[in-house]
Amino acid sequence: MNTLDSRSLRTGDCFGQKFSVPGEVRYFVSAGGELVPEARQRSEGGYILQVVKAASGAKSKQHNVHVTRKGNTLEASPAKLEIQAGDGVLWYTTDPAVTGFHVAGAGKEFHFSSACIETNAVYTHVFGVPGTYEWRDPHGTSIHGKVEVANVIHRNSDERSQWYESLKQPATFEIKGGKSSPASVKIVVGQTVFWSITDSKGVAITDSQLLPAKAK
Amino acid sequence: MPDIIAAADTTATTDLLHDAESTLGTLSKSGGGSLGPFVANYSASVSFSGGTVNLLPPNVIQIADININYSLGLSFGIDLNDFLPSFCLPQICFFGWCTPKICITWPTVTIPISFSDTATITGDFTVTALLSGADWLVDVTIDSVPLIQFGAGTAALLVAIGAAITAAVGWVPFIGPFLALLADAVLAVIGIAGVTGLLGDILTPFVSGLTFTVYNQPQLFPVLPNSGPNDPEVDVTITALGAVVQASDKNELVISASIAA
Repeated sequence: MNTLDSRSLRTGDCFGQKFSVPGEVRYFVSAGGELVPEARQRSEGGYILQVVKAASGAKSKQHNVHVTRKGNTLEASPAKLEIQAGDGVLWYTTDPAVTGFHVAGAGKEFHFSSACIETNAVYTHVFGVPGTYEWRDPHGTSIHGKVEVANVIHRNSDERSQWYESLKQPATFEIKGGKSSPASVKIVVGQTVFWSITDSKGVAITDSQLLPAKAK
Repeated sequence: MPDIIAAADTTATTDLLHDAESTLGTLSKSGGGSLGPFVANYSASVSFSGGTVNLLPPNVIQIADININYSLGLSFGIDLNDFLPSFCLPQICFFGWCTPKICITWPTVTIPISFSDTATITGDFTVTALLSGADWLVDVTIDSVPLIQFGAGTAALLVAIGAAITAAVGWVPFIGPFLALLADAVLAVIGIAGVTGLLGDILTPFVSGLTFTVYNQPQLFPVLPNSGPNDPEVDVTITALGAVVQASDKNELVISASIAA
């Protein structure tokens, strides 16, 4: 747990994607950060997401999909999902046996991937270990940022309660127009950081320590 | 009537003891034992030093304050769920998204500890002369397992365990706010009694039957060297060896030998 990498989602990570175009989306949940062949080239297997036209005046909703490991297979629950255009789907795991997954899918006019995030998506990560995390996009863009995570050591329940309350406040990065802002955020252990990807040509959020030197 | 008699007073016997402690060297043992509610695996190295001799006729050497110098490598496992509260990350909403509530399962961690200290024992040792292979030995063997005096060692080990816990769980996500709670809880269930029990279990086998060889003499030894073709080496054989503590104005360890040419 606690590796910062949207290409390999674990407990404490979430990936959310908005679906604005009606139609069928076939998506796959797999280990590692790459799907071969990619979702756009597949017409079988995976999970089906039906995106129906939104009713007039309908508010967008969030649908959660829980990922678990069964033997050597990663499973998504619920397996079938029908949503309205404009709704979002958020994938996450609480299964310690899941050592990392990514989700990727495609419809006729739309594709998405947690390893190469393009538009109207969110990645969240809970930081459980103190330190300074320099994150970068492994796909070669200059998008990057820094998260400074302060340790907290409490000796009584009041302090722990105050700390727990602080966890309800996230820190945020917004990725838009090839840039990320703010440049850095400061949080304490246990706080969540949201990356909102409004538009990009395909970005991942990865701890630079996980990347080869030339990509740092 | 013995042919050779040698006597050692308390000072000389103390010197013999200290030489014997050095000759005995470092003893090692590994195994498992109880550390409070935990099962600890250990490897232990022990050496003996010091001690003050008091000679008690007819055959007892009382030795006070022998140092047991011990080094321990310990490890034990802790399921953190046994000591830390269940903990769930709160649901957080932002950018129109809400994270699910995620509950943390604490891991089981192994706590490694290195610790060295000195304990002491005081006990009665019986003097025995025996032929072992080709050597005559004078051994002093502890009569019973004495109380091992740990001094401040138990408290020091407890402190070391606390420090080791802090170091070993540093990688565990979200542990920071619970670290003090964890160390306090684990040390409370171990307690001084747990540490004393483990140290006793580890060191007692080294003390039980503890024997120092204070005198070692080959049964056959030359008294005159070879001086030429017609003058060969002259050897003497010790046919009997005795060792007792004799009462006198100052008690002495007396070693007597009978020889044959």
